[in-house]
Amino acid sequence: MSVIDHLRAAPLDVDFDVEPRSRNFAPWSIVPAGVVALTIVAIRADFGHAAMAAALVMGIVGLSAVRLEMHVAAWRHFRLALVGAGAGALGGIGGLLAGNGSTSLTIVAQLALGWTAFALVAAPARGSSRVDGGDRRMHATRAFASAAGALVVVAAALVSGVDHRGAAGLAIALPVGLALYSLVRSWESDHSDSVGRAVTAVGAGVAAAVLALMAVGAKPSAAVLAALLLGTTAVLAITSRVRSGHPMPKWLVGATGILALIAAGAAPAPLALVGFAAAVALESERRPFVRTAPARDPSSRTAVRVVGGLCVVAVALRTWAPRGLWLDEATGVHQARLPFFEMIRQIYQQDNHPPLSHILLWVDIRVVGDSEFAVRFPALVLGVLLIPMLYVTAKEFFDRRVGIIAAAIGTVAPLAVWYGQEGRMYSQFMLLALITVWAQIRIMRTGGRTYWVIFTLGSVALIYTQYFAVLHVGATLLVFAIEIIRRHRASRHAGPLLKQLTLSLSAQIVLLAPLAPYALHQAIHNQQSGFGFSAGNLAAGSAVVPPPGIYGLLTNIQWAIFGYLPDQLTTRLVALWPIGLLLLLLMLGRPRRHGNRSLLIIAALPVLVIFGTSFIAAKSRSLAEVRYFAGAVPVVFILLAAGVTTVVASRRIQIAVVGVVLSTMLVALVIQETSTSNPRLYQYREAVERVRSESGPNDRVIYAPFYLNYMLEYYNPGIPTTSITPDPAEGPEVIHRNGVADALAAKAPHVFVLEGASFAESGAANADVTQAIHDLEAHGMSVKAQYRYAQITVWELG
Amino acid sequence: MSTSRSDRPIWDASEIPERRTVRVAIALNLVLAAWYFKWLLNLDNASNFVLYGLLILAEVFNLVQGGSFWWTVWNDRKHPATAPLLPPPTVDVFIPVYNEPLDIVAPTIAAASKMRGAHVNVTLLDDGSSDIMESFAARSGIRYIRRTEHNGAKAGNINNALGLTSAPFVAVFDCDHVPKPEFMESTMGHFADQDVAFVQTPQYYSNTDESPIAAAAAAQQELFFGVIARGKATQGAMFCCGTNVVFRRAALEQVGGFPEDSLTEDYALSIELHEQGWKSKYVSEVLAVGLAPEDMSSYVSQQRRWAQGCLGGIGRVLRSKLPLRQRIQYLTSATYFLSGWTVMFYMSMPVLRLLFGIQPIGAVGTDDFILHFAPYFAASLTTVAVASGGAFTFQAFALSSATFGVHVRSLGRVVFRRKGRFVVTPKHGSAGRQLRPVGFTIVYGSALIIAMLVGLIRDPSPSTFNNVAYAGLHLVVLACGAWPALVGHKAMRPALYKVEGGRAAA
Repeated sequence: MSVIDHLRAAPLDVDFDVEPRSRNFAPWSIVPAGVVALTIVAIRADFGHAAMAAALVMGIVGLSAVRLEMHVAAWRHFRLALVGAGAGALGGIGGLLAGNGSTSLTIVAQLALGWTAFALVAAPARGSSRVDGGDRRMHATRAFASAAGALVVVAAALVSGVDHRGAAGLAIALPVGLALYSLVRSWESDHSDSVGRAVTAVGAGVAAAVLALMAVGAKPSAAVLAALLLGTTAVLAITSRVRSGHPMPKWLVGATGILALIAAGAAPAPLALVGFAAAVALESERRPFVRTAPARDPSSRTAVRVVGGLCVVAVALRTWAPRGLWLDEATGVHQARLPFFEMIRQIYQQDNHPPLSHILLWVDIRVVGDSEFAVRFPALVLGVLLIPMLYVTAKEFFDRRVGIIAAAIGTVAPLAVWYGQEGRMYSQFMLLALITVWAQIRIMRTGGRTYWVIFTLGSVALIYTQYFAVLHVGATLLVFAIEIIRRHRASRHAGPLLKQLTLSLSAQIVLLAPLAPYALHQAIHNQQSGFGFSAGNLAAGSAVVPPPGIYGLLTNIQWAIFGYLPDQLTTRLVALWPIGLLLLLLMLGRPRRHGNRSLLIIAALPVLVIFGTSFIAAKSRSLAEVRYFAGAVPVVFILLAAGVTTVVASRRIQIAVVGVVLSTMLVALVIQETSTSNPRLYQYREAVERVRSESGPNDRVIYAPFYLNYMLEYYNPGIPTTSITPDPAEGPEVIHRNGVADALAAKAPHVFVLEGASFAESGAANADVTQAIHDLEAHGMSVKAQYRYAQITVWELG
Repeated sequence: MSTSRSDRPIWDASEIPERRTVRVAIALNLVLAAWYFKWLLNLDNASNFVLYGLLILAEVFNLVQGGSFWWTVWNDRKHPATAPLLPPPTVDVFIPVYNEPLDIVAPTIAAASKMRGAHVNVTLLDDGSSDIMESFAARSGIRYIRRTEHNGAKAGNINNALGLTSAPFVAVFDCDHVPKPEFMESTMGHFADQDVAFVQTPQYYSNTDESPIAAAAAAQQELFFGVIARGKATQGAMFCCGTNVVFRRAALEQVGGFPEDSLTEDYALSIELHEQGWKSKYVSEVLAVGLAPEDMSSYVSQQRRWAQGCLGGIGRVLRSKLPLRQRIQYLTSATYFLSGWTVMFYMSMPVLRLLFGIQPIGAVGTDDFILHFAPYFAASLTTVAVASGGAFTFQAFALSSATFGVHVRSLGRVVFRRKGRFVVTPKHGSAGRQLRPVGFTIVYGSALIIAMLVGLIRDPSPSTFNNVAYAGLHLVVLACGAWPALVGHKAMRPALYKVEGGRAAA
């Protein structure tokens, strides 16, 4: 039985407006794309790359065109050819980047292309209506098969041009994306076996991810490709089986074979891709084409497909992390490398964060490893999970359309991407905060116990993740209080809600009890050590945090939406604040939508409390920073999405506005990720690599401030390192240690002096470094070279 | 014969927002206004003193308008329908027409004849020269009066009819306002009070789906006939609005009928009646369903007449012997038509800054300005939104802003004593582009674009970006308001009746 036959037999839960068409896909329409790609890449790179890029593009365009023609009945082949040419240009650029060996940009360029294909594939699912059952099934079948096919093509495209790190990310991305696809779909579905399917899919995804990670640790490229092959095939097969009740379709076997060829490193990979595209094209000729009518709100099937695709994009964007670890990440790695209880003790004594994210990192390092990618893996996974969570939460408050827009915003939002790339707790903060918001709205709608459990555990986990999450939890409690009062006034029964809230609060208090003495000790200890909440001058990154006030608030809003941009750009964007006045005007006369008030409270309360406190205290400027109210950021995304659909009535203009918003965010994201003027960029890795390349075995590194020790421990320059001034935490026995003296005593031929910027506004580090260089010069050394990197400067003396 | 306009689900003019919320918003607004003006009136902030003076003038004007609005809505009360007057009185129902299409007039005549709660004598007052109207009136069984001399426009037409009729009460409906059957039942009870001169009811526009201009104009009307009219009525200062109104004939006769020398005869008449000690009443229920202007030309024509009439009446208000509260209400209603000047000034500021580097306020940090201005601005919008129950829309605001030139021109005509001409608002919209009514807007929009480009090219500093954002804000508002005129609107309502050979056919 062919895939078509067995999927025809499968019951489906959607209706489509199906209209048989006589016009079929013309395979020649992929030719222009191939020619364009071939030409572009051939000009700038060698013929091999050009052929590969052309074949790749033709395959993707072939897939896209099939779906596009299904979707837009009125289009003609020559228009498809134009689309093909455009996609070819894109693919050419991707191929060119691959030819030039720029791994990260290749991932982005080719994934963008892959996503185009995927979006087109998913598109026909929009619509509703009535037609005969056979065509309905066929349509849905094709959409599913092509969605999976597109994923395979994306995978193939990626592995053709990336290194093992990117490929490993993809190997994880695909199964996890598919798992999320099923998971979200199960929420949408009324079928009794939905949870089972979701669990199966997630299990498969996790298994594939673990397999891929293990493979990364063993043999880079071949193993990753094998894992990719196994993981993708397994998940596709499983999802296919549970959906249709039949085993893996034949064409998947073909796809598996192609992947196997690629995994084996075989040269005919491009030919295989062309073959794949041809197979799809030939298959398409046996089927009627369909046209769907636009609907007001996307169908659940469409929404799930789009969100699934967004997850794939989210993985790609979050995998694209060209920057090295910064201080806090390096510190976290140092702590997580310790034995478990030793780590807990050190956090208790020296840190000012609760331990949950450290515990996660501790497990991660032992399972996945301690490479940059591995350290950031939990943040990546949690950051991607934020996408479906945005969808379901926004859908719960508004509708599917808002859900999709919110998920799309979350996918490309620079700040969400940034923290999805950072091995710290802020990605976790965002996700858990959103889960509590979702659970809360479900509670207010249904009162279900499950949601109370999720809300309670989510709130507790939040506070175990970040102490500032108390404000978020407080905001959710305020929303509950308002709801109770509202119900009471409306003579509705508020008693059960009050009772359940009391129970939840009691449970939270019990669960948080162990944290209380922990937090208290940290607060007292850090306050005494000068690292407490009032020690604004010593917080990392404080130099780039604006002082609390209106400008600081606007800067943080700008960060929340457009991410970390160079200061020159930030000040200009903040100067555009009158746009806020326009937004206020645009809200005039708009209907009040259910849930707006709750979301506004949850988004605004933590921000206002933090800014109010900072403003009043005026000395804790480092607190007035977006990461400390990261939980509010996804809520802002939902409000933004809801705002677009509220303010703009026309569907077409809505799409245009969303397009503008997403495009702007994408541009901001590219700037954030590539600009060396990003105030949050710390080029420690680059600095240490430079030292490693320039140094000899007897050379020395001395540095200030002493915090850089964890960074140097992680990146290890390969020669001895000593702090110019000692770490007070090391105790009195080392208080007299002096980096300069050590270097001189060792008679090092070259001394590399590292100065970390922005940690101490008092200029202590700068003064220490200046003094050290002066001392070294006094002993006959001179500055041979100076290397400047973001947030760190290296002097080479010899 | 269709009266479908009266069958649509309609806006509830009697729905009052929660009073406590409104009053909290007003109180907050007062505090924030004081906070802003305390900062603004610091001369140390001034940069260019001429612009600074103009800014103060504009801001004070807006504060006075805002204050008047807050004062009015603070007194928002329900003004419900009354019990019918017994025995049912006789009412002359006047429907003035001036060459309007029959498909507009017919439903009004049909509906007026069906009103309950009074013996109605429907009279078609034809100031035009169409025999179709006469034959239609004859077929409909109503009285028909055609003037031979056309002096005094609508006021003259009604005064002429007053001399030819005799019922103790007179109702006036514009020919595009279809009364509901309960109109008389709901209003006439107020005349049990012998001091009541007239009872006004809301103007409600039903053709909001026909064009964006109609929708925006309807939103403007809903703000006025909602919270503002209710507040004015509470203070005994509701004035006559020309249609959907019932008069006591004795009151009209005492003041000599409708003033014929004003473009807003209703406004002028109300002043005279109040001055004579008569009372006015307002029933905040939609009892007639009308049509809004559907194209920019019609809208501008209507606004120009109102603006020139009301601005021309300011002197009359100042000279009147009205109680202070009524005088303030009349004055603030009339001076609203100066607000176009402030719009023009605010739009000029970024242009002047970007092109010539001059600005009213300087040496002030962004923090400082936002801290004082933004809360006041946000609170003002919130108060309007809350008090109007969401009736006032952005499109209404944008349309008002985009036609600022009407106010500017009207003041000029009043100051230079150019006599206006009473122009009947066209009842059917035009489908094409109408650039002429928004010529002023196009000029200002172009100036804003040029200023933005020049500013960015010359000095792409944060300060320039800030002014570009301001210019962009104004540009968006102007564009949204003028858009229907710039692109034309396609969907035109088909005529309900075709006129063939001098006879109407359904």
